[in-house]
This record gives sequence, structure tokens and C-alpha cells, in this order.
Amino acid sequence: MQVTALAEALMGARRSDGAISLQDLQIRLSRAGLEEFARAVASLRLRPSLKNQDGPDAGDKHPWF
Amino acid sequence: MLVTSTPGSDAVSQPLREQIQEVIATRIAKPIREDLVKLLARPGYALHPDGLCRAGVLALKVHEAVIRDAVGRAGLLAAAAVELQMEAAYVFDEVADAAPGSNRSEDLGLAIALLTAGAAAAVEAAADSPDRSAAMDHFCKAYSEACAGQFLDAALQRRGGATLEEALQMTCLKAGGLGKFVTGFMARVAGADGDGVALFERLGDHAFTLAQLVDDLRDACAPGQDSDLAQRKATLPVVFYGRGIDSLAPLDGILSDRICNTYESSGAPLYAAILAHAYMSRAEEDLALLARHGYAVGGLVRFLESVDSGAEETLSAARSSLVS
Repeated sequence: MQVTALAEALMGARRSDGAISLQDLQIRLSRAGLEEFARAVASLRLRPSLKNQDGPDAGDKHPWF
Repeated sequence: MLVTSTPGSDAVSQPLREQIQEVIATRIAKPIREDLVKLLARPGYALHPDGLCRAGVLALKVHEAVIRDAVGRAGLLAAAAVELQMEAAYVFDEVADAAPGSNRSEDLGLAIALLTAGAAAAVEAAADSPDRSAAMDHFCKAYSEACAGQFLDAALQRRGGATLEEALQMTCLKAGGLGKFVTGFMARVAGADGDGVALFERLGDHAFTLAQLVDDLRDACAPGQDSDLAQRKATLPVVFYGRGIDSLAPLDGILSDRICNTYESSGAPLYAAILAHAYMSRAEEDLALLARHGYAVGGLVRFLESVDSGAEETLSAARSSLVS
């Protein structure tokens, strides 16, 4: 999995105001041949937006690790 | 007993918990039995009422996919065996993350007891399987991959400056290795064919790596000293954040609100969310292939859906962190 190439594509997709368009990122990844990530971005675009993200919770930190 | 209800529900986890308690009662030395049960009753662990028992539940779903019939003693024992190994990994992880000076040496003794009890249960579970030695060989070798991941986790954290490739390798070994361990062992115990075993292993690898990425995303950043960023862990979102030229470093292990804001706008949450989605797609492909091979994947589909719904809030928040 080309994790560095994904990181570079993501940083390259940033606009001057810091925002990132998922559509633009998807196109960039596709052009770079990173089809698996392009499909992942397409899937992420379908998720509804929720504003609040949970922070770490020391009481139940590891359903996995 | 045919276990077909929602993954993690009492109908699935209660028989598993009872089997775990039986293993403890019969394979753990009396002086530490009570302490071990207390340990496993803590939040997040298998015997806590809200404990997810993900390893054991996933193993039961693999059994259901192969056998298509009620799970017997061997299946429950195999599920208890992999869950005990996972619980031991939790303990080691928690001890490694404990604040300097905190004395957790007793827990390490209990973790070793968990490993030996799990191995004893695995031997009995595999006794009547088509290839007992292959099942036990996998049990030991695959678990050592997860151990390698935990080793790398600690080594990268101490060394600092991990690359994204190193962070991915650590994540895949630590979590993916454990998933492969779980599904591969149960697939062998249940008698899956060679192609099926390989597909079940891939599914476990991808499903647990997905879950780890979601956890890493959730635990990456929060004001204070408990987050992965404050502890300079080598997880993928934290390493991504550290690559940025304007990324602020935590002072004295404490994250300020300013650093959290910088993290949120760095692209790191989105980066980890994209990786998680890639692993979700891989797991879905594995399920499709297993179905094509004739395995009854309904329970595994519901298992993956439960992972996805548990990740919903975290992934959605990552999506909204800086996307225009």
C-alpha cells in the first residue's frame, strides 16, 4: 500500500485556504494510478458529515488496542 | 447453539464469556484465578458487561460460515482461546502505555497466565480438527506476528521519527496479524479448505487493520496527555501530522488546544479515514470471494457492518475536519 504517495497527493490537493476538495483529491489519486485510494475517497464522500469527533477515552480505550 | 444474532450481542458473547470463565476455572492456578477474573471484568475487557469480545465473536462467525450449524464445545473453546490471547495483548499494550512509575508488574504475570490458558484451550479445540498440527502451528506463528507488531510499536515510539511505511508495517503486524490469527485458527479448526483458509485469513487481517485505523483516528488527538499525539506514538495519523512543516510538537507530553486545532486542520484525520475506507473495501472483497467459494458469510457481513457502524462518527468527523 502506497501510504507515502497518498500523503503527498493529499497535501498536493490542499488549496491556499487549507481546504481540500474530496472530488479534486479523488481525481488526483486516479491520475496517479492510486485507484484503491481513489475508490476509498469516493466511498468517504458518501458518508454524512458529523461535526463532533470523540477524543481518547481512557476508560474504554481498547476495543481493539 | 446456533449463534446468528447481532455480533457483540449477549446471545453471541454470553456463551463465549461462560467458556472463558470455564477455561480460567480449569486451567489457571487457584491463587490468581480471582485476580484474573477481576482483570477481565475491567472496562474494555472480555468479562465486562460491555466488553466487545471482538476476537472471539469474529471466530464464532467464521465457524458459522464454515460449519453452517450449531457451534459445539470445540468451536466455543477455539473462540475462547483466541479471545484470551487478545486479552493478553490488551494487557501488554496497557502496561506499555502506563505512566512511568506506575507498577503494573502483577498484570504482566496475569497476562502470561492468559497466554498459557489460551494455548491450552486451543490444543483441546484443535484436537478433533482435520489437521490439528496445522491449526496449532498457525496459532503460534500468527500470534507471533501480532507480538512483532507490539514490539515495533514500542520500538518506533521510543526511537521517534517513524516513516509512514514503518507506521503501516507496525499497524498491519499488530492488528492485521491478530485478525489473521483469529480467523485462520478458527477456519482450520472448523475444517475450511485451503483456499477458504487463505481467504478467511485475509478477511481477519483487513477487518482488524480497519478497526485499528479507526481506533488510531479516534485516539490521535485531544487536549491533555492521554492522546497518541501527546505520547508521540507511531500511528499513521500521528506520523502524517509530524511530516507537516507547520506541525507543532507537544511540550512535556501535554497537548494544548492550539496543537489540537493544528492537528485537525493538518489533513491527518482525513488521511487515516481514507486508509480505513481502503481496508473496508478490501474486507468487503474478501467476503464476496468467500461467498463465491460457498461459505455462509451472513454473520461475517453483520460483523463487518458492526465495525463500520462503530466507526461512523469517527470517520464522518474526519471527513468534515477540513473538506470544502
